[in-house]
Amino acid sequence: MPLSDFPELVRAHAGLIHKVARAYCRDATDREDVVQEICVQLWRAHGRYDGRHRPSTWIHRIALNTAISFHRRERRHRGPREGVEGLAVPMADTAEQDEQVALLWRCLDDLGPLDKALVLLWLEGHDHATTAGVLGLSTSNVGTRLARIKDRLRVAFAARGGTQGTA
Amino acid sequence: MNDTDEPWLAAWADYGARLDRCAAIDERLLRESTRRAVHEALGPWQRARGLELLVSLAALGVAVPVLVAHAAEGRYVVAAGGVVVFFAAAACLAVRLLVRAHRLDLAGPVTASQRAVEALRLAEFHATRWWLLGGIAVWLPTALVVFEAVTGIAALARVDLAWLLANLAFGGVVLAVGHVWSRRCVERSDLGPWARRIVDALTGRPLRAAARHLDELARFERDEPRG
Repeated sequence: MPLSDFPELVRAHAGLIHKVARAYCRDATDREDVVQEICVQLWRAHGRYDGRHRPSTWIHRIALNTAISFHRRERRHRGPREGVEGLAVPMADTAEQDEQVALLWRCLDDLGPLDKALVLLWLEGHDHATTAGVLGLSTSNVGTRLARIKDRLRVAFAARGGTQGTA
Repeated sequence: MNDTDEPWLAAWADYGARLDRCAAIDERLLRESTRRAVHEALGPWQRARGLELLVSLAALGVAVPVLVAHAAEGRYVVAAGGVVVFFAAAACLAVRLLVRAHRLDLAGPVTASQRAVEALRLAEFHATRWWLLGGIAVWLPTALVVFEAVTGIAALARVDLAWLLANLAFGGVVLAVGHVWSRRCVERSDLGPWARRIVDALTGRPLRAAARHLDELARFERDEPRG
């Protein structure tokens, strides 16, 4: 990938990077650090990007690996931190959509780092084969695990009063 | 993808679109911080490993001739030989760390990359532990060997063996006190990076954390619920 394409690549996927950072860091300062670290790793790796995968798939791999490593390192050094949400995103057209997204985040926060990665990839619209490639799992494993997590999400949504996809 | 998931997916897609719009506002700031981070990130880590390698090679360059010159004397074989073994292993550990860090590919599958990250952390833990534990044992012989190499005075031959052993015993006491201190402050979050590395090396916490993470990765790959 030419060097000149890098800023455009980051710009085009800034939302994705922020979502991964938010999934692993609730604290706004930590999240900024993760975003920066992801960008650094993307910068380092972009010379080796061979175009075999879609850019979003490639970015997901690097972003998830970086965020999980950061999450583990920070947790080990200072324990989990409940911080300021601080992600200023404009309101949705309907309050229901905002509520659904807030509930999704809360459900994601309850998942382990690897399951969280799985759900993020699913929410971003990746198919099972792509998700399996990003995570290094078998396709059937992705399907089974995802079905189980979605059941848990439905229960969590129902318990918290969110609009759920009917099982 | 299942149609019944649509309410979540539609809300998420809409959220993503809104996030894309506001994330773009920070683009310039992001580029500046990225440029700065590219120059700074991993620099200190690589420099520290490079320094370990240089110090180890320099010590070997000093200790090997002293050892060769006194190969028939038991005291030199034990003391200078210990210094050579220590710094040879330290050089190997530093090279291994630098190679592992260079080969680390975060663009690989998450489970494989996380294993590689864990292996790097463990290698760093073993290297720190080696420097800490071995350093306490060989610091005095190293000082004597360097002194001898620089001045030509046979310091190691003249030093009292009991004094040498007493220093070794003192090192053991320092280690024991450090171990107790580490266990007491292992959960403290305000330690600097070097203090943290020492505490981790003495308590072995990274080993337990790595075992947990590797177990979690294996369970994830086998599709087992979290333990």
